[in-house]
Amino acid sequence: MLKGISMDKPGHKLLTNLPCWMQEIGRCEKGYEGRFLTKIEHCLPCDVFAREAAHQGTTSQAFMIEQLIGYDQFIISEMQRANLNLKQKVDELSVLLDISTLMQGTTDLDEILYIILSGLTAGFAMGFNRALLFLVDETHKELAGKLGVGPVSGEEANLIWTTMSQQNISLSRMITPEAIHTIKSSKMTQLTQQIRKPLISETGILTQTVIDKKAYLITDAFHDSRVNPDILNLLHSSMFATVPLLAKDKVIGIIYVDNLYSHDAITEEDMESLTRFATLAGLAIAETMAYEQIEHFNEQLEAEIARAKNELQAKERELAHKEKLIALGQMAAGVAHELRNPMTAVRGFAQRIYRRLPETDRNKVYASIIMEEMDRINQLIKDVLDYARKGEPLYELNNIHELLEDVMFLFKDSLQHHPIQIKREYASISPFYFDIGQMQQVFTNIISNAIDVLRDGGTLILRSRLEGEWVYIDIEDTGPGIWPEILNDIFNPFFTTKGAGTGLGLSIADRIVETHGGDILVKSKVGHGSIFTVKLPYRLKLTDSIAMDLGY
Amino acid sequence: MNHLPQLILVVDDEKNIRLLFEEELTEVGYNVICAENGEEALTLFKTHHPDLVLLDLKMPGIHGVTVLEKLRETDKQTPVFVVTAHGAGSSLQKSQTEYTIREKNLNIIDYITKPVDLDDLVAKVKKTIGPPKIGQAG
Repeated sequence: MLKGISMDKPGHKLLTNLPCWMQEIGRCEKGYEGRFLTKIEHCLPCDVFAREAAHQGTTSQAFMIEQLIGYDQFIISEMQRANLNLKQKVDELSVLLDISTLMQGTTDLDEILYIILSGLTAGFAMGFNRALLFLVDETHKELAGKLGVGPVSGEEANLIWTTMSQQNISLSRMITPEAIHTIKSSKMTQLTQQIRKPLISETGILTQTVIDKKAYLITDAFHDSRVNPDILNLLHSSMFATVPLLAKDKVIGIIYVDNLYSHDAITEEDMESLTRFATLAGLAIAETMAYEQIEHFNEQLEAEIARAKNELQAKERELAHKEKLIALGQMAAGVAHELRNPMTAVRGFAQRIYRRLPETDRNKVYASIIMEEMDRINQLIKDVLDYARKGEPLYELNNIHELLEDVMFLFKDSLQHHPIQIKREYASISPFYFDIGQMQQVFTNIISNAIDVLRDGGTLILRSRLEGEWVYIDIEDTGPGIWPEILNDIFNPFFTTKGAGTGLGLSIADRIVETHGGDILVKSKVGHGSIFTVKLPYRLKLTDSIAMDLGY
Repeated sequence: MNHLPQLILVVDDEKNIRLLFEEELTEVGYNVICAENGEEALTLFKTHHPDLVLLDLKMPGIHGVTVLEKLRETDKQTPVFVVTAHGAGSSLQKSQTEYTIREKNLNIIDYITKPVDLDDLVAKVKKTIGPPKIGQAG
């Protein structure tokens, strides 16, 4: 539909030249009816026609010739008009075909939307000044602006039209990723995306188009109650059209078009083309959306499967690792236990030798070394046995601060030898259920490490706090801190940075706290120190499940 | 009143441990008799009425806990020290056996954990049955 072409209607002028034929009803005074040639046949011999001719100062024949010349011109005009209509139809159909072909060539929704809007606005296609596309959002039950094409000002419109007429641009050449990107971030798109309407008819013409599944032509928007003020404020156009995008009787969105800058009227014919175009566009969008949905679903599924696989593998690894450690621990425990009988004999007799020797005898030192080394072996065995023990906690009401003080008492000798400052920041915490023996071990292991790293002095802070259903106990040191690379390993059994350790201390502590339903958290900064936080459930009574486990 | 030194029954399947305890406690001044399994222990207990029993738990044949149960059927008073290599981990943790003993009210006096410190052992013995009485010949 080319704009700016208006048609002369010579037939109307011609009829006014025939006074004896009443133009309105197409009937002569003598009652003859029919088309123009029929009229001529009857007019030449007619006395009324002759009188009219005489009244014009001419003869019937001359008057008729004059009429025939006009008719000739009329025929030519009529043919030209038909030709032009036909050409417009062909143009329109070929543009539709172009667009349809282009849309079939892609499964990208953005590209489809862009093709649709280009088809609506390109001069050689439907040639509207501006086109906006809205899609129905089923999740939020609203109509949401997606994409807009068109100049945001008259100056820009002129520039575009000039450029377009200078270059012979085809639709397929307009569709490039850059162009799509430009449109997606254009001011017109930003403007479009500001428009979101809940899907109820009261919200105006845009949603009405969706609900009524009907195209609307608004000719005087500023005085039309169906048009919301906010739409007028944003788009300023007094004449515009809206068409639903239909896919199998379902409205998936709408198109809005206007001619804000050229002020060309939107005709009934425009509306017909627009409706045809919208049908095509709707189908293409629906197809693409379905495709994208499947793609998206597939992607999600794949990601889910990959994640589940990873998780499973990690779990399997962890399980295998744990099983290995448990088996190792059990074997070690069996061996360790059997070692204690010969150790008792060795240590005992060494002790007896020691006692029998005078202070001056060098052998007394040797006997004492045998005893010390036996004690060291015994400590190793204790650690291994602790680790191998399954150790269900024995829950009793205990005071956590008293326990901490008991543990600190164990270290009184080593604390005397190091310049360590001890700070206590205890909150008020009533006794709660925990296994005092196991917790003593947890805090002994953690505090022992803290004292070790404070050999050269520093501060050891014991801090407790109650947060909801959890008790937190911080053991903070101002030691050298733990390198991030090994932070993950410190709870692994047999991992140690000490020359003389078994590497079981923190591993045991972690396991005990875990069986209590708690957690050990570590924060550390190299050069500043570490905080080990023991997080325990603040159990003020035994739940049935725990009591049952314990056989109470 | 018996003026002989107190009699201690040492029950352990390990020959060297029996020897160690016997020598140590004899040297301190007590009388010591030894059993190398549960059955022998029960027999010696009945015939000698010791003042204290040092009882190993893990032995071939009758387990130490069973020995203790049988012993308590006739005698509720004689102090018993359970000597065990089971005393896993930290001092406050209790092993399953210890719970059994406590629940059955077997009235044991103390636990001696292997490896044993002889000074500790002697201190505990003295505390329980008193220092050795000066023995009279015969």
